Amino acid sequence: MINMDGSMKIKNTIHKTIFILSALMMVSFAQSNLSVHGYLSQGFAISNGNQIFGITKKGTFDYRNLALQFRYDYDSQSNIIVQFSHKRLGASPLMKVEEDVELDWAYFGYQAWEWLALKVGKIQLPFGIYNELRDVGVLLPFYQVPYACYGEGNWMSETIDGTAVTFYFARDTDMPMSLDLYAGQWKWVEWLIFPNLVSKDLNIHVDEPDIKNAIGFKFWMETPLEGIQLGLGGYRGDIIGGVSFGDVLGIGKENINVLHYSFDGNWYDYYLRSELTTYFLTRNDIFAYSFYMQSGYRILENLFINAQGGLYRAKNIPLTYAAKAIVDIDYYEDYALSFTYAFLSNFVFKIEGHWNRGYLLEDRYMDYYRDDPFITQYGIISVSASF
Amino acid sequence: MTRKTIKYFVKVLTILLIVQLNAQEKFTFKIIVNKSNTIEAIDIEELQKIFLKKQIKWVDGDLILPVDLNETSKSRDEFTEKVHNKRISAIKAYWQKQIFTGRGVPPPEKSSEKEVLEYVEKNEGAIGYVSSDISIKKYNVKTIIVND
Repeated sequence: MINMDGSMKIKNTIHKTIFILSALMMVSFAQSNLSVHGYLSQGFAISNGNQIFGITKKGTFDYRNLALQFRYDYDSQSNIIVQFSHKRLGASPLMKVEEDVELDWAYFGYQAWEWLALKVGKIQLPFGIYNELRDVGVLLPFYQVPYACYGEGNWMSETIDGTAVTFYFARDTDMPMSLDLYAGQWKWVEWLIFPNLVSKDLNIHVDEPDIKNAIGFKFWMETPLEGIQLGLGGYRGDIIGGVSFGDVLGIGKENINVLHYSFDGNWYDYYLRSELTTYFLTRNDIFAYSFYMQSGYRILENLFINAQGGLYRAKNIPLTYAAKAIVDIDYYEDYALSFTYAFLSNFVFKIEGHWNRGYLLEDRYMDYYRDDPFITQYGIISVSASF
Repeated sequence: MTRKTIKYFVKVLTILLIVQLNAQEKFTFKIIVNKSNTIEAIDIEELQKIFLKKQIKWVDGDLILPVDLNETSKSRDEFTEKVHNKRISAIKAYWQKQIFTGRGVPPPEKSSEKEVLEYVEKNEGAIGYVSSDISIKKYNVKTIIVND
């Protein structure tokens, strides 16, 4: 379990101090080369009973994302970008490790040539359609990016401490391509619930394992077919610590190998996006995959209807508490419908309903052996803005 | 009415329709660059790349400085429709993505065509668009031809 009182408070104070200093420093730079951007999403979320994604039966207004970005363009080739964020996800266990103000990214970018760009520092992890944009509400058809493929900070990182190189190919053709290569390390959050055998209370274990020695890539290609982009990406890394592979379950050290396939189709009045991610944990021979499909249609000038379906399946999951039994788990499936109304391109209202079946609940112990998956319905109303 | 007369009318109507369609295709904006720029014509595709900052340098290596009108402008609407074949909201979304992935920032947005003319006059690498009705004589800018 994370000790919130000690290191977290110190980290929090350090981030707040960096935030204020950066803001002051950036403002003192030459004004014309400095740009400040930001976004905000505020939601109200309620579930029909079970707690899921921090959403309770009582409902919560403690559901928001906001970020402030300072970008200083030294010249046409070099820039420094710092982004801070604040995130609340209701009663989610992930909030145990979320600071009031987080340093999202801080990096130096250099466009060496039109075909080559470099980034060094704490940079966005280039992964799929949404990972670099996961909290930018005005761009999302639902409050959250699909849990399938992107998690919610759970077994997935938004950033990498390291370096990335982007190559641009065939820019003058009708099939322009880009390739990101990156290396470094990151943390992700994972949590598990166990019953206390004596008191029968629930113990929620939250931890942030390190993903070290990570390398990865992301490839995007525009096709000659109007509006269609195809993507392929992947990474490998060593998982050090955490709930599953650290001291709690004690399954042991692991490597993770991820492959990711994307289809992104955007047309005048509709879009269709679909992604598949496969995960292979080699030492324990665990295989998992997640998939989602998302589509939307413009029914009025500023009004979209959006639909989404996604699922996550895992095979060969070792359950140490059950005499080292190994199970396949249909971890979750989620279907959703939303309406988004854009008052302006940077001011959007959303209303959405979800039907979820699985083992993602946060207020009860779920025994993959004995319990059938739980069905939960939840809804979110939100407004998003950006500048 | 004879068959010949009907055929004649059909031909005239067809020609009128084609003329009408061509008139609708004609741009209601003009592309302007600084007078010192040697460029005389530009392709639609190149314009698209320039305004999305996918092409950042002129042939001579100078930096291109595109300038937009704000989203309430009629010329912006026309320009986005004809050049990008998209709605302004789609272009705005593109720039939101660029900003929040750290890849880039949009061209500056001016609230009037006069401000666009002044910007292009002031910056040698600049390129912008203004309504076809606007006179550019007072400014050190020139119009360039747009090839389909």
